[in-house]
Amino acid sequence: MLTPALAIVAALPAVPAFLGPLATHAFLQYALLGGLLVAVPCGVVGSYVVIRRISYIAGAISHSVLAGLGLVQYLRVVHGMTWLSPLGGAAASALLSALVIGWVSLRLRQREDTVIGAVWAVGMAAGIVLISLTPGYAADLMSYLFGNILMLTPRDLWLIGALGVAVVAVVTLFHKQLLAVCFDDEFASLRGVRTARYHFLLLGLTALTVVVLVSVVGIIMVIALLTLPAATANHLTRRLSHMMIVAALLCAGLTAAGLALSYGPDLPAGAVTILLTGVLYFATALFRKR
Amino acid sequence: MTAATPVLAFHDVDFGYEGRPVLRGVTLAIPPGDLVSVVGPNGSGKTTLLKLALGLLRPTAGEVTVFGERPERARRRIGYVPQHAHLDPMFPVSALDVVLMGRLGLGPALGPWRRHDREAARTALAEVGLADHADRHFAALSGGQKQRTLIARSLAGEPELMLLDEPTAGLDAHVEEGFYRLLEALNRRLTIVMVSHDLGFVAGFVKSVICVGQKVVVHPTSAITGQVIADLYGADMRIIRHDHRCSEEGHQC
Repeated sequence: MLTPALAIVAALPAVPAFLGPLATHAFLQYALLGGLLVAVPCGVVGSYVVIRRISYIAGAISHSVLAGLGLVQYLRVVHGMTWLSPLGGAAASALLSALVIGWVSLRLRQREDTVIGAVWAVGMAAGIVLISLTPGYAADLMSYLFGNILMLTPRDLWLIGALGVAVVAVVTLFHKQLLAVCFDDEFASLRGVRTARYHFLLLGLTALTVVVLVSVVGIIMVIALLTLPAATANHLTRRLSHMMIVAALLCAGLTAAGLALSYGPDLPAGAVTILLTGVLYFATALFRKR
Repeated sequence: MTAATPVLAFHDVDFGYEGRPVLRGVTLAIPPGDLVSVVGPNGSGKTTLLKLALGLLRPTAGEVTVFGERPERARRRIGYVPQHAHLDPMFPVSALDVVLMGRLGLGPALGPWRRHDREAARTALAEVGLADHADRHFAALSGGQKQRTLIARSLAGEPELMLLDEPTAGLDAHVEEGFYRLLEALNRRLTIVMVSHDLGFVAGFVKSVICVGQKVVVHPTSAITGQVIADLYGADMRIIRHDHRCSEEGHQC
């Protein structure tokens, strides 16, 4: 833990090297704005993922995204279906995984973990096979796995912003039910709440949030950006609404800091962001213990 | 509902988990205003009885009615108080947030709680003696306070029947005493059914006892004798013994 922390401190002089180019390069501005926009669904949905303890479901959904990305890439290149969008493929595979896992966790509770693992690995395997079948696109595999915030386009930003608005609207409308389902779903169902419906709603929101986070930190590290700022906020707050706000602020600050620190030394922004996130999480966890 | 309709009734109910029978031929009727304790060894089917009454489980044979209706239809009139031990201790809610959950189905379906719901929740907290703890983190409350908060949550739903699952598990003796006084006060307007593995302790304050063993028997409290307990637990136990623990099989006490 200490070495990455020192590396980050050592990278601090790199920040000025970021501010100059930020003023002139549109791709850096898009990246910064993307990190700030993604913080809204990240903080809100991440808080639900943490309190409902479905981090591993979020992990499986994020890894299965590779199947959708691979399929779209394959169809575009090999079959000339250029109208397909990678983001659409990612969203489709994420939602499908969410449905499968949600259904299994409701019906066959005791085998839930096996199915989560299966979705996780089979999704990745399908993606890797499809990408290897696609000529000339191996480089994309790296950006899918590890993210590339510098490739965000204005269209991506609009999509991320729209998801943030949708998440906030849904959560404002159904806050009472979602809170009760996460806290004690048996009691909620006795009070007439259709708990299965809210279970799927949460998984659907998680799937869509995972898709936009993939563009920032990549498939492998999504689970950390989704859950660690929320878990850190959980250490610092006592009510869910406060936890969401703190988680969103942390997520925004961490992606911006990751971008700023990585730009000068030419490090991968996603990985630096996750290191910062991890350092903060472990620091607050240790502080809390004492 | 006529005066004769029992609040909770079982008519020749059988229930089993995957072929293993748990309850057989259970018939009982709880009249309005009763304060009942369901007792029996661990694994005897006490909690199953409660879940059948809530409609969370369906009997394999026979019929369960609550206020003369199927349990699913009567749920709004039931206040359920589960054990608090299974709840996440880190969960980011205040005591008031928890109590407000009892208003689900009564308050608005969409958007935030109305002032009326908040007032009802605060009244419920005051009734269990936690008026000053509304804004405290649920996790920071003591075991007894958490239990009272969950009772307030069920009161916020304006129930006519309250079902409690092992409400005294893990409570200190002096906390338990105050807890029984609270239930006695609530019993002036509610029918109360609580599950307990602690027969001796409850015998002094409840109005009747349902003993769950291989057969289910209802007794008025005055009729609890050494013989009843011996039939139930399969050993000669004294009523005043407070600290007994039964084996998983439930027969070697």
